[in-house]
Amino acid sequence: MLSRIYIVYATVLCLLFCWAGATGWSIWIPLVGSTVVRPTGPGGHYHK
Amino acid sequence: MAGNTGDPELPANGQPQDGESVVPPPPARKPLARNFECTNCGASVTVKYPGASLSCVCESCHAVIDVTNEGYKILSTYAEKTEKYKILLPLGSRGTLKGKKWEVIGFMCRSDVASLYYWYEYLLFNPYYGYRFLTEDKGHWNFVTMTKEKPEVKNTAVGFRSCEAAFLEESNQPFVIYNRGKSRVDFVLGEFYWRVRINTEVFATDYINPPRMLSSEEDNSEVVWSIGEYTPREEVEAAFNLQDKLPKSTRMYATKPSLALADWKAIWPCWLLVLVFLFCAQIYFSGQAENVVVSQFTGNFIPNQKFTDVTIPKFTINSKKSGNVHIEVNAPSDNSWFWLGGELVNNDTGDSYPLEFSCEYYHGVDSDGSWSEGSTQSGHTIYGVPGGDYYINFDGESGDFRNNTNQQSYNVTVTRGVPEWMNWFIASFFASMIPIWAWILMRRDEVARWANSDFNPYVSSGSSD
Repeated sequence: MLSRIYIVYATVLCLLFCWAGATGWSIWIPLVGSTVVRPTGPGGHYHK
Repeated sequence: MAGNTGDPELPANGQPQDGESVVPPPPARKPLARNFECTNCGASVTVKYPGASLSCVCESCHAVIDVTNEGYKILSTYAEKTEKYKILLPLGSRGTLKGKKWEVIGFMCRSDVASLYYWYEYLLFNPYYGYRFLTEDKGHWNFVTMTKEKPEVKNTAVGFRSCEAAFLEESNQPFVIYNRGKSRVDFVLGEFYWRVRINTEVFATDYINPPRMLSSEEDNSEVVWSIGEYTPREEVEAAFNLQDKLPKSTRMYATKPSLALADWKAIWPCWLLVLVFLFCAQIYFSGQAENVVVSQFTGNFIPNQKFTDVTIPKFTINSKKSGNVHIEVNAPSDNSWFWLGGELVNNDTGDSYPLEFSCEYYHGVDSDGSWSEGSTQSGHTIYGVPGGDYYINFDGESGDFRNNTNQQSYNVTVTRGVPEWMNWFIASFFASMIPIWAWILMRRDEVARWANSDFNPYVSSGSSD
């Protein structure tokens, strides 16, 4: 049963990967979002 | 015990069953039970199958009697009447297992001499098919058939290790050694086709290939091989009409089929295939990546002062299809920071993509020596950007460059179609989650399966108890 689920899951994942590769999209940005890059100072001790 | 698979019967429809050879049935005769007085205690003893059974046990005093001896010689006596052994399948009960009807005629408790680990064996009898054993070990049942075939025993590679294994002629599937040692008869009831004696010891070896077990039992006179097959408790209950009366066990057992193992065996080739596919696809996409610089810009700034409304002049991304755009900023940050914020704008459609860069680089020397952190570079990748004309607007500011108020310069480089490996890492990670979970479950089952084995592959030979 798990193997059938995996086959479907992996197929979708491969299709998603190919689509992302062909269109220049990222499959991870929707998952992690974009990070804030404001300066934080050494060790992140303060904000300017 | 002696091997006796019995004579096969001629089925009612005259056709062979299960590939068994069929010989004409013996002349029909009604088995006659024989009664005699126990030579140990005088109680009445009945032998239900006097032609087939060589010994039986007095139900009163538990003395084992040789029924082929005219004087009913006592083979062994059991010192105590005991309730210690709970007989789950009553003697004389009948049930249909593996498509054939069997009667329980004997019961024995056996144990490993070294560890005192014990299990129960029920002797089943069918006048046409002979004898079988149904073993019960802490809630797990095996249907055991004696075989006349002598399996080939040799060392072989199983997985990443070499171990002793037995092979049947029918297949090249190895039965891996599981246990070896002396086993002893502790208690018997009923009747048997050999002269059973309490405390009789045989040298036994078990080999497993779940759900089957290949066992050899050796004494001074013979070696008997048998094949056991795991039989679910529910099947035994249904056969002997004992619904929910047999003890349940949720623990793993030597021959218990593992769903996790089946899943793992099915999943790992798919996993391998997926990883190879993803890698090949990644190599292809990386090879196809344009990776061309479409704009370079150099700007000036004065440290610790904001600057606004800077525009990188229009540049063209030629490819029609969408792709990524990587923008990299270099600034001479020295124990300070430089920040840019703005947007990439499509000149034709007005679509904009927000950008932010922070170049921070700090270094120094402390009691642990020199240290540094951050970088004078900062990059940002925008995904799914279609071809067209673009420009970049941004503002910027910086920190105090050690009171250096001289004008500094920074660089912005825009690259179209950089090879993107993060997709491959993420896809490989997600493609591996289910297989790794399946492996963990399989490993848990197999570790539990081998926990009672002297040949446990999950315990290193150097470890001690």
